[in-house]
Amino acid sequence: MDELKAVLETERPIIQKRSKSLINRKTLEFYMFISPWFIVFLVLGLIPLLYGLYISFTNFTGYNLDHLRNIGFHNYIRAFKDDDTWYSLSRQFIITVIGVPIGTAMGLMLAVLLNQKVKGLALFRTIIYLPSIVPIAASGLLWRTMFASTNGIFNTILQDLGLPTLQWLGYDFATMSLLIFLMWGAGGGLIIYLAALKAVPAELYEAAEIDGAKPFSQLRLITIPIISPVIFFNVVLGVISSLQIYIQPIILSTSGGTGMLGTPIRPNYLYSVHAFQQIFSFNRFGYGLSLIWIMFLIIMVMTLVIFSSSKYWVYYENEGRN
Amino acid sequence: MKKTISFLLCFVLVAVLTLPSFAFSSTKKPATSSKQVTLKIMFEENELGATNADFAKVYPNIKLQFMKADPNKLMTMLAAGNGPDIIRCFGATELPSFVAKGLATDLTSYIKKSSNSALRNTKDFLPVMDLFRFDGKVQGKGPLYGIAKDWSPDFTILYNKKLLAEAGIAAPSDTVPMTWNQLFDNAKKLVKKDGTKTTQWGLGVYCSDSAHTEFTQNMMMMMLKQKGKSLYSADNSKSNFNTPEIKSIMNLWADAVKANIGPNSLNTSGEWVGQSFCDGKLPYLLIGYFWTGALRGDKGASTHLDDFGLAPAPVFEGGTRYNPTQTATGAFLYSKGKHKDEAFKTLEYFFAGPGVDARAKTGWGLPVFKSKMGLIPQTTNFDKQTYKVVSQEAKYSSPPLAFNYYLSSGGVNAIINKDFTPVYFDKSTVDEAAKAMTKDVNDLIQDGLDMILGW
Amino acid sequence: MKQKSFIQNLWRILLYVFIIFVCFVFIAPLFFLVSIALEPINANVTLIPKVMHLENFKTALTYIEYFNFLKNSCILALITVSLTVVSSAFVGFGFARLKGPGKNFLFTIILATMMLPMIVTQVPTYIIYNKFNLLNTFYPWIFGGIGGSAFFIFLYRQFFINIPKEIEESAYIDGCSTFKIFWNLFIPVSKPIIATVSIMAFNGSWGDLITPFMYLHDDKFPLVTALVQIGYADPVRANMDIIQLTSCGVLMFILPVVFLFFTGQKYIVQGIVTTGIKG
Repeated sequence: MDELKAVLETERPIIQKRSKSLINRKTLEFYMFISPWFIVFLVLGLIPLLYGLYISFTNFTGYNLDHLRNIGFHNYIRAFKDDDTWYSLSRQFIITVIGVPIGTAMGLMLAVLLNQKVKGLALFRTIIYLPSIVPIAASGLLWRTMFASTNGIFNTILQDLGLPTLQWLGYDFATMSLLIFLMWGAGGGLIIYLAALKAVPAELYEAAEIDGAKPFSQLRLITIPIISPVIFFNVVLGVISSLQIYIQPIILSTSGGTGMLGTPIRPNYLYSVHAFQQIFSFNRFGYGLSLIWIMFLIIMVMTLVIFSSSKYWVYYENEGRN
Repeated sequence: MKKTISFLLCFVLVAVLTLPSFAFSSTKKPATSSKQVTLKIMFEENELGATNADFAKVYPNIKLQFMKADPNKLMTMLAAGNGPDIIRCFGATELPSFVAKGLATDLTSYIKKSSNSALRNTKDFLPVMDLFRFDGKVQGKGPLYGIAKDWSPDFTILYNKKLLAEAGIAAPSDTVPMTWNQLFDNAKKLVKKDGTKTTQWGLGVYCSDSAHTEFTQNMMMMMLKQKGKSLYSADNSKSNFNTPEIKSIMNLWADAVKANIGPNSLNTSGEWVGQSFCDGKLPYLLIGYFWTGALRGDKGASTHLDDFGLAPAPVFEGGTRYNPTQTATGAFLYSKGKHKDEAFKTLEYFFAGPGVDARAKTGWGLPVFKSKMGLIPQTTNFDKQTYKVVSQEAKYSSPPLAFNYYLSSGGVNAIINKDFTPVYFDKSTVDEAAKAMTKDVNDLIQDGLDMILGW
Repeated sequence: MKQKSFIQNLWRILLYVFIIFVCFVFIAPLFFLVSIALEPINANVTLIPKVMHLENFKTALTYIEYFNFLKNSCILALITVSLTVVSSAFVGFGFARLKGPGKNFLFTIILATMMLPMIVTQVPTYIIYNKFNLLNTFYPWIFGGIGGSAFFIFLYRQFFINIPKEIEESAYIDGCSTFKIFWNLFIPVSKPIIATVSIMAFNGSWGDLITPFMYLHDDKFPLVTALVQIGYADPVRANMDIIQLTSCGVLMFILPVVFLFFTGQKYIVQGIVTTGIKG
């Protein structure tokens, strides 16, 4: 025992030295691998970002770049005093809290469904994926027409069935209609799930089948844990993008305004819409950017929460060995 | 596997090597013949009457790059000091704020040098050109900053004789305007329903980019002026929606919307009222003279134009007649443009040259020169009737709608949408909406004041 | 035994019915787009057109410089896809498998860039491009492609992170360089994710409307920007678009993506990630 210790004692410096140079090499390699992103980010990404941050502390209106005045935290204080900020924030959270779980579950179910051994799979997958590639300007027109109270397809169907018709884009149903519009594009995450499902070793299912596990418990016990890093990815992305939704409610708005200037009906007046309206309708560019930076902080905190929760539900293959 | 990798590598290599050549072709400056200039013009080529090709024959040394008018892109370009040389704007709502921001060029000296007689003869200008004058305080006074392309008394009403006769309603008079109440009452009678489904609307409105029969900023300002009132204080520093006049207008519209006389937020429609009218499915359409151009060009409607007529803008009982333009689309020269002489020549060519006649002949709006009024269509009965009504209405078109240049028109419309739409759904009242709108608009004025005075 | 196969068959039939039903729900709104495309010019929208105006498609191709815009779309997609797919893989590998000081911080920055809308950087970026004469060129797409995409970097990382360490370790012992491990071990087993990223990068580029609109002039617009921003302006009604032609244009615009997805999705299926991986 003591002999071994002595050997180790003499060996240690050598081991340390070798591992140190190994670490240096590894560090260098790490930076080499990330350098494409890192260099472009430093040159073309960082400066505009910092400038964008600076603008949120100025009275920028979109036209007075030569006359910018630093007004400190005025824009940020204003955000907290603005009633619309709080209202619109609550609407954005409602969309996120309802939309992300449903969207994630739907994406996963669709992927599992389209991972079965059935004929015509390519066609089915393409159909589900299709809605996510239609330009928003076209799909917005489609859905606005379909949701129309008069001659809209939904109300025509309801009427033919003898059911009362709805104001789909009116006060009480507009948020539901917005969610339907958003869910139509849920197939966009399909291929990520499909790629993930392919990574689940077939042996596991075979073993489970021999043990007599039902398909549903196979899904729960094998599929979901193994693809959990990808579910995690989709949840993080879902939250990030859901908190930034702004064009869909504007496109669904019926007041007919074109482009960025339409105003959604009140229940669909989301936080991001509020921020963009400051910029495009009210010439309050600086204020709009400060609202966006506040949203950035909120998203950041939520993402960190999701990340820190990941150790309880995301299964990483190499964990503990890394 | 190696195949895949080498394929990927080749793909990248080919991409990286070949693409710059594509990209380069764009940066290539036009041949260094010293006079060749390229102008960026924020206007759509097809609305100008004359084409880029026509222009190139006259000015071979000026190359035009047309781009669609878009506030987002314009703002970004202006921020970089790289704005378009010629910028599209609405004379009625936008010009003074562009001048106040120092973005427009005073055209006085250019017109003096110009050989174009149409521009030098200011007596030939219709009053609408005054919308492009601004002295820093009052729109309509001061130097000329731009030229209008066309205009129209925008609150004139097109009607369908057949549909009115079906409902036993007399066609409106060419000379005596309907009152607002008459119009709304008739519209109510004209609505046809099949169960809960509306098969025919009474009145369509196209105003401020909205195709809903609803209350908009332009409508409100026009109706208020008919009552002899204004929304803003004399120095434009305050707004007040809490007056009985404005509230009565708002009540009128809230009732009209709840009665569903036209498509609105309560009862959205997939059809566009402009087309419904052309298809003979809509009895009244408040849209302005320019839409007669669309009727003449529509496959279906153009075969039976005699079914349609034009009526004067509605008035209040005992109120004054007033029918202004809400747009007066035109253009100004960017104050930091590098080739202003060439830009002015371009402006002149399209706005006071060959384009003018071509546009007037389509009837898509009225020309801005008195001498060109005769060019608008007057051959068929429909042409004659509409020409008669519109030339009368033109007399009631001034003074212009006085927009507050501390505000953007998009901003006020956004506020109206936000605060007033809940009234239709009984989620708010006219009184509450008036209070909210006063506050929101005043905040916006304050921002505008800070910005312009801060310079 | 027979009974079981009967139940199994029943399940299969139900499965098909269910899949077809779901597909119908998803594709139904697009039928509507087709019916708008077939209506006579300027007609108000009806559910089923009485006469099919197939010539609308031909008009849509010639009314604007469709093929020029299509070419631009192809060039931009080629740049973006080829560069992004490769460079994001590099960066994703770095974050998944290598270590260095500041790694977590840098990864947070990558995530953070996804959390900000483009409007934050729009004005300063335009100013920079203007200063360096990059406006109206495709260079911004080349740089952007080399820089990779935060989204794909994150996606690659999530996949690389789960590839068992054993292969890598044994390769190191054999004296392989990290680059070789990445290129010869990780890339080959990542075919599904590469196919996924390629398809998504293509769609992202094909559908990106606003970036080209801000930094290019009309004649360099890709198809989607041209369809939405230039559009099929009505010769009679200045400033209004003919939505029938726009619908035709949009339908033809999504065809390449449909084709790409239809053929590409099988590479995802043929994935060979499972070889050598034990749970």
